[in-house]
Amino acid sequence: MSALVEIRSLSKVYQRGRQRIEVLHHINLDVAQGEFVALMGPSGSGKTTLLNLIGGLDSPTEGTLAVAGERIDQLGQGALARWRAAHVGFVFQFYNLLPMLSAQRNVELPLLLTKLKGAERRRNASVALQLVGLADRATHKPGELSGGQQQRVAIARAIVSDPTLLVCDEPTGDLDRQSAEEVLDLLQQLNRAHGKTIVMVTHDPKAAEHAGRILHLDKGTLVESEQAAA
Amino acid sequence: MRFAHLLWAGLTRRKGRSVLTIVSIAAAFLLFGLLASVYGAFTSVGRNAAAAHRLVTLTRGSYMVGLPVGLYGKIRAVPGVRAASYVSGFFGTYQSLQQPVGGEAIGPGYFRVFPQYTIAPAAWRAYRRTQMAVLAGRMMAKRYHWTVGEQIPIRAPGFVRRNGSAVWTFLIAGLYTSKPRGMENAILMHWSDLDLGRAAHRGRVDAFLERIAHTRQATEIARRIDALSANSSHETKTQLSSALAARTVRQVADLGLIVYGIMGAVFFTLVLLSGNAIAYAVRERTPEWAILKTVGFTGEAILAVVLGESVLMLVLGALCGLALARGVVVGLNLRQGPHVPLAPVAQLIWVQGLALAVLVGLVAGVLPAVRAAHQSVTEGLRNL
Repeated sequence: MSALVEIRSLSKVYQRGRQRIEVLHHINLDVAQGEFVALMGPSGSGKTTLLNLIGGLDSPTEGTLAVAGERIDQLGQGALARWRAAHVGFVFQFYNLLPMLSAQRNVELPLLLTKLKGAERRRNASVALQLVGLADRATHKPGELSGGQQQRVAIARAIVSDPTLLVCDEPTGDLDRQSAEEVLDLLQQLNRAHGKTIVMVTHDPKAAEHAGRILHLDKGTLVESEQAAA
Repeated sequence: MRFAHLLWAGLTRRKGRSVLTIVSIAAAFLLFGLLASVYGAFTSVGRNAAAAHRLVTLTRGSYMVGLPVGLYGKIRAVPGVRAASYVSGFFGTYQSLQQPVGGEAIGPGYFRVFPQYTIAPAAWRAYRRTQMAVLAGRMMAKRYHWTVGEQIPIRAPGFVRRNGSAVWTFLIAGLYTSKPRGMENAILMHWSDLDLGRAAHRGRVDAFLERIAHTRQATEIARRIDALSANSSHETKTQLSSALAARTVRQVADLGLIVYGIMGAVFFTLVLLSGNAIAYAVRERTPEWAILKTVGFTGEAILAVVLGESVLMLVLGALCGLALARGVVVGLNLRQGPHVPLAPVAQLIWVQGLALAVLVGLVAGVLPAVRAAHQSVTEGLRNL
């Protein structure tokens, strides 16, 4: 299986005043096309930082990071934004939906940046909502949905532009067990049935079991890699 | 247009605050519309094609004394004068002091000098053959609910009658319309009725009016008219109607400076006020900008959204304010006295107002927009 994500000697340093905080130290990692990887580790280990780098939300201080052969560590802010719009879908712990927009409008957001016409955007968003089982909640605003439903709307938004890569930061961290299971099953289905490559940060070993591979990060270094039961 | 629903959603996110901001903006644009209307009313006085062919002859002495009506025949005979007439002002109140009535007592030939009046033939005939008849402007008749054939008592303490009474009772012979419509806020009466009835100033007029063929002859004709009474007790000064109007406005005040001064202060305050409101709203939505960037919005797209929201708010406020100004001007023109009716809130004022709204929206929104555009995604997400 070819690597979709190729990370070589990746470091990330934050400067807080005079203080230099090295969050990631020379990470090397390959994530294969169609793989479902869970990233675990204690708080402050650099999981979210690594995820943000893979998703193109931040840029590394050192090292190289290529996704589908494209060196995203070399892209400027504007190019990186356009790259994200085309290639990555994001799912966050607190859903990150815009509260004043309906579920349908939230899902449509990434499509506003494409050349699709209004009717096509609406149709694609409807399909994505259907896929996550929320077609009947299209007109509801986030405040009118449960946590699990909001997270499914967020997943619909993440997949609406058909990205190759999904990055998920604690997607079940704010959900009850049943909703969490539903969301994880959905991610697994997207991975298996639709071939989406998923990198997911989680604290929850049960959630990690849904992945094909579990990576452990500690103090900014990858310490362990294991195959999950799933 | 792609972001239209985003702009609207942003604006309606905090309805109370948006409404208050829009009301403040509307108040500023109401003032803008009214001041532009006042300015337009003053600067447009006498600025029409007819005024460019009309001379006005006033006394060089006391306005209270006026000029002898006997000059009329001599003025008519001056070469280059196509038509001439004379007028005396008349001011009083109808039924109560709060209902002012202004008008002019007019001599023969008046409507040849002022061709912008429209009078129905029947009304004209009734006016001509009836003593103490008046033609009422349509706006004034509408305001006081006058009808043709009605007797209207006007109390005019400045025009005491020979019998000692200050009440003049006129018959409404007909209505007239005019261009500009502001002239419809008056009554026109026979000068002879005023002169026969009043106790003082008999045989005197406030001004002579002359219509000439060519503006370029104005100076020469004015010189000839003034020569008629040179070295007499009633020397005259004749000038183009438009020049007189402009000079009168200038004598009152430098209206332009006052209007632009007030507008400048108002819009400076408006930039600060709306800039502050937008900056607050943008800061409050820091995580939302991060979400939009996460899904691929570039800095430029965020800039466009914030500026669009700012401009939309200003334009909505401006539309409300200008619509209000339009209503107020129409209302005031129906209610106010006969002098200098406000100019309607014309298309040009709407265009200027909306252009100003866009400009203020851009200026007020630019700093918050740049801040939102440059905000780091990860920093923004941390604020969630």
